[in-house]
This record gives sequence, C-alpha cells and structure tokens, in this order.
Amino acid sequence: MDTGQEGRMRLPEESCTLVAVGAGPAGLCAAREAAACGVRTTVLDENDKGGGQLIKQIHRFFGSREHGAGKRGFEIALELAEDCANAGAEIRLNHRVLGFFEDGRLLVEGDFIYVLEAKAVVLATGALERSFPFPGWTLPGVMGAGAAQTLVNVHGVLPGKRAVLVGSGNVGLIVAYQLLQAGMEVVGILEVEDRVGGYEVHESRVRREGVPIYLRHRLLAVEGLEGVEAVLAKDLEKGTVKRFHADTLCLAVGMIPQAELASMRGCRMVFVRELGGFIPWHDGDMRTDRPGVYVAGDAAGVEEASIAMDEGRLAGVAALEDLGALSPNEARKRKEELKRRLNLLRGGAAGRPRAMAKERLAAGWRHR
Amino acid sequence: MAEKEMRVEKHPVLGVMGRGRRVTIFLDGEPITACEGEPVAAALYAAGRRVTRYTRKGHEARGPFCMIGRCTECSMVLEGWGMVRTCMTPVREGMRIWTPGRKGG
Amino acid sequence: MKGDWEKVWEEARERPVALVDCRQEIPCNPCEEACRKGAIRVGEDLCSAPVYDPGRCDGCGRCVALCPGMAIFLLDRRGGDGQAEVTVPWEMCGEIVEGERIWAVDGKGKVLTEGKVVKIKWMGGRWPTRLVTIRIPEERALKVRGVRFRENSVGSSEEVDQEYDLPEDYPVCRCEDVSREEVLKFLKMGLRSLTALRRSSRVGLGYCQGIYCQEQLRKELGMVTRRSEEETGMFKVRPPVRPVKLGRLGGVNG
Ligand SMILES: Cc1cc2nc3c(=O)[nH]c(=O)nc-3n(C[C@H](O)[C@H](O)[C@H](O)COP(=O)(O)OP(=O)(O)OC[C@H]3O[C@@H](n4cnc5c(N)ncnc54)[C@H](O)[C@@H]3O)c2cc1C
Ligand code: SF4
Ligand code: SF4
Ligand code: FES
Repeated sequence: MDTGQEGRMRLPEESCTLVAVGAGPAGLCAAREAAACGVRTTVLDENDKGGGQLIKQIHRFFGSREHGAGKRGFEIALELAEDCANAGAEIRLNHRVLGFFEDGRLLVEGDFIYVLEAKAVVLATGALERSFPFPGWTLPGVMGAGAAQTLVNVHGVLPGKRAVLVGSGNVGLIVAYQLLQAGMEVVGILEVEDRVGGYEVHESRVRREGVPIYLRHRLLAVEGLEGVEAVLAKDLEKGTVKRFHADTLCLAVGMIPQAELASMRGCRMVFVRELGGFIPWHDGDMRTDRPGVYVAGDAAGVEEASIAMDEGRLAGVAALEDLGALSPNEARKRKEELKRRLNLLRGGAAGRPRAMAKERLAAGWRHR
Repeated sequence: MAEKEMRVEKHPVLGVMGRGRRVTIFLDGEPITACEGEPVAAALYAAGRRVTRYTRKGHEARGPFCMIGRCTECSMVLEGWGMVRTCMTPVREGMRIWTPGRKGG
Repeated sequence: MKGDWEKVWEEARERPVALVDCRQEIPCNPCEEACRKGAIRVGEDLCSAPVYDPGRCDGCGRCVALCPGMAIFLLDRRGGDGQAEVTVPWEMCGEIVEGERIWAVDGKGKVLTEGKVVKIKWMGGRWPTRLVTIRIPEERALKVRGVRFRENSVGSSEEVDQEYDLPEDYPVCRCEDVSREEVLKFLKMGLRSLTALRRSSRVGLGYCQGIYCQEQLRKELGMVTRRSEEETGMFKVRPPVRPVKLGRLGGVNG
C-alpha cells in the first residue's frame, strides 16, 4: 500500500457493475439475474460458505418448485450458489464489507482491505437474531437458537446436554427438533403467549418427541456459576415459579433486519414492526431512496427464504432495468411474474400483515 | 478431559459428519484435542469448555453467543496474533489460545 | 376433513393410502409436486391447504418423505385381522431396527399404544428420510402421527418458592459490560437519546456496534420520552461494521 498526497494510506481500488452484499438466497438470486444478463457481477460474503442462513438448515423447506421446496436448506444453498456461479457471477467468500460510503463506494476486507466501486449495489445482508437482557443472560450456555443450530448442524458439536428453548415460533420449533436430532435433550419450550407461534405441523413434530411446550410461561432468569445450570420461568396462569435443570438456553425470539450498511450509505430508514424493525425504505421493485442501491431478503424485512429468493430476483431485475441492460418491456414482464409469486407466498394468515406492510412501503410510507 | 467429547457421532440426516484431522491445541497451556479447520469455539465446546473470557469489571464468565462473528463474546487471545473471535477462527495444529481475564493465568 | 378420513379408512382395506394432516395456510406445495397420481392438489394459491383424493393414491410414499411439515402418513389395513400398518416419516437420532417395539404417539405426543416396527425404508432425494412402518391395533391407527422410543416426555421442572428473589441488576450491553442500573441512572439524569446514552455510559460502543442492546435501550427510552421506536431512531453506524485487526484500517478516507 502506498501513501497518497494527503498522507493517507491509499487502498487498492476495483470496480464492477453490480455487487451483491451477502451470499444468502437473496444475494445469490439477485446476482444470478444480473450475471445471466451479461453484467459483471460480484457477490461478497463474510462467511466461508455461500448460502447464508440456509447452510445451517437441515430440514426440508416450504415453498414451491422455484424455491427448491421439499429439499433441505443446505441443499438449496448449494444449488443456488452453483447456479449463480454458472451464470458467471464471481462469488467472493471470506470477504466482509466494512463500510458503504455516501459516495457509493464499498470498503471490503478480504485478504487485504480494498475499495470496491459499483454502479448497482444490492444489500442482502440478512437478519440478526434478536435477544433481550435478563438476569443471567451473559452466562456461557445462553445463546441464540441459530448459534446452537450452527454448532450442531454445521460443526457437529453439541452445545450441551439439556436445553430449554425460549419462543415457540417456527425457528424455536425447528431448532428444538434439530437439537433432538443431534442427540440433545430438550427439556421444554417456553412461550409467554397463550398459543404456539409457529405452524401446527412444526409444533406437532416436537410434541411427538415428547417435548413439552409451556404456554403462558415467562423466562425470568438463568442461574449458574460459570455456565447455565438452571432456568427459571414464571407460570403466568398460576403465578408460581418453575425451575428447569438445563445446561443450555436457546433464545428464539425473532430476528432483526441487518441493514447497518444501508443506514451508513444514508438510505432512509423506517421502522416496520411487521417486518422486524428498522429497514431501508424501498419501493415495490426493491429500490431504496438512494440511486443504485437496492435491498432484498431479510435485510428488507424478516420473512422466509423463498421470499428472499424472489425479492433478490426482483432487485436484480430492477438494477438491470436501471443499468439499461434490460428493455423496459422485458423488465416489466419479469417483475410482474415475480410480484405475482411474492403475493402468493405472502397469501397465508402469517404472510398477510407482511404483504400489507410491503404495500404501504411501496406507496411511500407515511407515519400513521 | 476425561469426559466424552460433545460431538455428534452419527446424524440421522447428515450421516457421519466430515471432520478435519485430529490435532492438539492449547487452552491456557493445557492440551485439548480438536479437529483441524473447525472454529476454535466449536472445538472448545466439543471439549466441554464454554468459558471464552472473563469480564474486566465483574470478572464474570462469558461464552459464545452468536457463533457467526457478531457478538464478540467469544474473543480470546491467539498467541502470536492477538485478540480473535474464536467462532470465526479455524483450528490449526498447535495453536495456543488464552482466556482473557482469567485469574492466576 | 372427517369425511376425508372415512374415505382413507375404507380405501386402506385395498392398499396402503396416504393420510394428509395439513390444515393451515402454509406457502408450500411439495406434496402436490411429489404425487405422480394427482391425488394431492394445492393449486395456484400456494397458501391454500392441500386437497386430497384418497381414491387416486397408490400408497407410493413419496409425499410422506418430501412433506416439510412431516404431516403425511400411510395407512394400510389389508391384513384384515384387526391390525393396521401405519407409516410415519422419521428423522430422529438413534438406531431404529425392524422387529423392535416402539411407542406410537398422536399429534400432541400422547402415547397411543405400543407397536412393532415391520419395515424401514429410505426415501426422498440425496439426504433421504426414513419411512418407518409399524403394526398396531387398527382402532388407534388413524390417530398415529409419530413413533418414539421413550414412553415419557423428558420435561422436568420443580416448583420454586413463590417469593423467589430476582437479581435486579444485570448487564444490558454485553461488550462494554454496562448494567441496567447504570442505564437507568443516566435516564434519571435526563439523558434522552441513544447518542447521549452511548456517550456517557459506553453502552453500544462495543465491537458489536450496539446491535444487541439497542432494542432494549429504545424501549427504556420510549418509556420516559413517550417517543415511538422510529422517532428514537438507531445508533449511528460507523465503519468498520465488523472488528478489524488494529492497524489494518490505517487512514481510510471515510
Ligand atoms: C432456524 C431457521 C429456520 C428457517 N426455516 C425456514 C424455512 O423452513 N423456510 C423458509 O422459507 N425460510 C426459513 N428460514 C428463513 C430463511 O433462512 C431466511 O429468511 C433467509 O435465509 C434470508 O435470506 P437472506 O439472503 O436475506 O439472508 P441470509 O440468508 O441471512 O444471508 C445474509 C448473508 O449476508 C452476509 N453478510 C451480512 N453482512 C455482511 C457484511 N457486512 N459483509 C459481507 N457479508 C455479509 C452473511 O454472512 C450472510 O451469509 C429459517 C430461518 C431460521 C433462522
Ligand atoms: S402416497 Fe404417493 S400416490 Fe399417494 S398421495 Fe402420496 S405421492 Fe400420491
Ligand atoms: S407438503 Fe406437507 S406441509 Fe406442505 S402443503 Fe403439503 S402437506 Fe402441507
Ligand atoms: S460467538 Fe459471537 S462473535 Fe463469536
């Protein structure tokens, strides 16, 4: 690295037409669209594997054929990455994006730190596991459900012997099942609400294994000296406190869209509860309010992998249209088809509030 | 270390999981068996070790929380390099790691 | 649904047939894709529940293996001896062998009866699922949704003294080890924004950039200021968003 005139270190610079940040389903699908159209495309991901959240999912996925439904998450990840590479995109793993400046340049750390300039940037950085503080939450053995999932499914290592899960949404139910599959005991799932949050089919899977789901139970605290030894929960019906003997506590209390890069770039951020929190405002085609910046997948609102794929494709098409690589007519046709599919995916009781939030965003999003 | 390793022997979906070569790493000077290439934090879990650091203020034990490099709770000192997030640092033969804040260490 | 199962019950006298137990609006249709006989239909509206015609099913089991909800089973009453064979998808740890005795459970996990494993078959792609067939008394067969080795569930807890004293103080910020009490103290002193809190207590100043604590802080702030989350806003993020070894970032112009 040589020193520039101002005495600052000059970083190596590079340019490219479209960059997707994040090689999860959203980023890979956006990049595939672009590369297949002959546009020079790069995907950056800080992980050493492509596929984002999918690499730790060993269950079969919902969705339809376009989303690899019926296949296991990691299997879908492999296929998406292969498709994307075959289309001609360059996938750079172990490359983390450290900054996204107002002038549109990305600061990236790979083997060395460099600056990457692109005409279009699709932010597909996914979501982060939500957590909340309570007495004992910093003890070793308290972790995100996704962290436990990474340990058992990616590394084949058990986080402990007996686990309690917090949250009965789909993630909690699925992770409870996967801990059992790996050979752990699941002492129970705690849920403050009076009903299970996830789908019946997922609930039934864990119940069949004899895992109790404690409804109307609030997590109070975790006890232990140098790690989790017991979990305390309050039975909100009876007002009593229960102590569970366990060495692991997994939090499955939702995900938060991860869009720091968008906020650093100066994109307008809006708070949308139905979509998990602060997200960059975006129109119906996944454009943010900054030219050449698009967002897709969980970073644009926490939803599902199938939706992330189609949102990624949509962002890719919108970027191609803006770059002039697709005729307006062709772009419109593709966008219509993708929006039709997205509407179907959000058609159920669980998806409708998200569909409405996305519509309000597309309409401009004013404070209520 | 007499305890059985906390590894998944045979997985009903994934079968026998592929692992790197068995190597030895050193935690605060004590030898621990690990598999080459797996994250140091996973190797510690497999050996039943969950504490990665002690806080400066209250000398409280902390351990891995996110396993994807976000929370930095798994930070430890890698000899010859400095502080690393052990959930993102692959195991290499003979590496020496130290628990920050450990008393009498 | 009731009528459906009566038909399944009747058809199962002739051949094994599927029993589809999926009633919610799930955006999902692999069952339809799996069936070569056109017995299961989800249709254009991906979220509608599958419509199933037992009359067309030949009991091939593909849908049983591929349903992500593990919500499809097979029923076979050809024996006609008061016993039925039920097939369930199985992906649990541990070895399961033919001839072994195992508990049959319903959708809530309640033990229905004990049965014998008569067949194990792998199906469904490169990472297949086991289809486990058990033999049980016929009258319980329609209710079976799973099998397991243990009779009882593993859940165990003890009731604790009602007056359990909760520790009142605990860290809010993991990285900088800032306690809840400290945050409340600064709120009492009149600090009213994320930036002010960050500057005075170091909360959110750690390497994680406040991604774990900021929801809680917004909540605490909201309670004293009555401002919405959107108004309270987010921590301002600065590069690098991930920890970088000191010195590598030298004099970046940002
Ligand atoms: C337990 C669990 C079960 C699930 N089950 C299902 C299911 O059955 N069906 C379904 O449809 N969905 C499911 N999902 C949801 C699904 O996994 C996500 O919706 C989907 O992965 C989102 O895709 P994405 O591309 O937006 O983000 P992600 O998959 O999260 O990918 C984001 C990528 O961006 C990278 N990244 C982030 N920041 C940076 C940076 N600064 N620099 C470089 N790279 C960065 C990350 O490393 C990551 O690889 C499940 C999720 C969980 C947690
Ligand atoms: S068992 Fe075979 S024929 Fe019957 S519904 Fe399932 S896939 Fe179709
Ligand atoms: S595949 Fe299973 S979960 Fe999906 S719609 Fe069909 S029966 Fe329901
Ligand atoms: S466990 Fe969170 S950074 Fe390593």
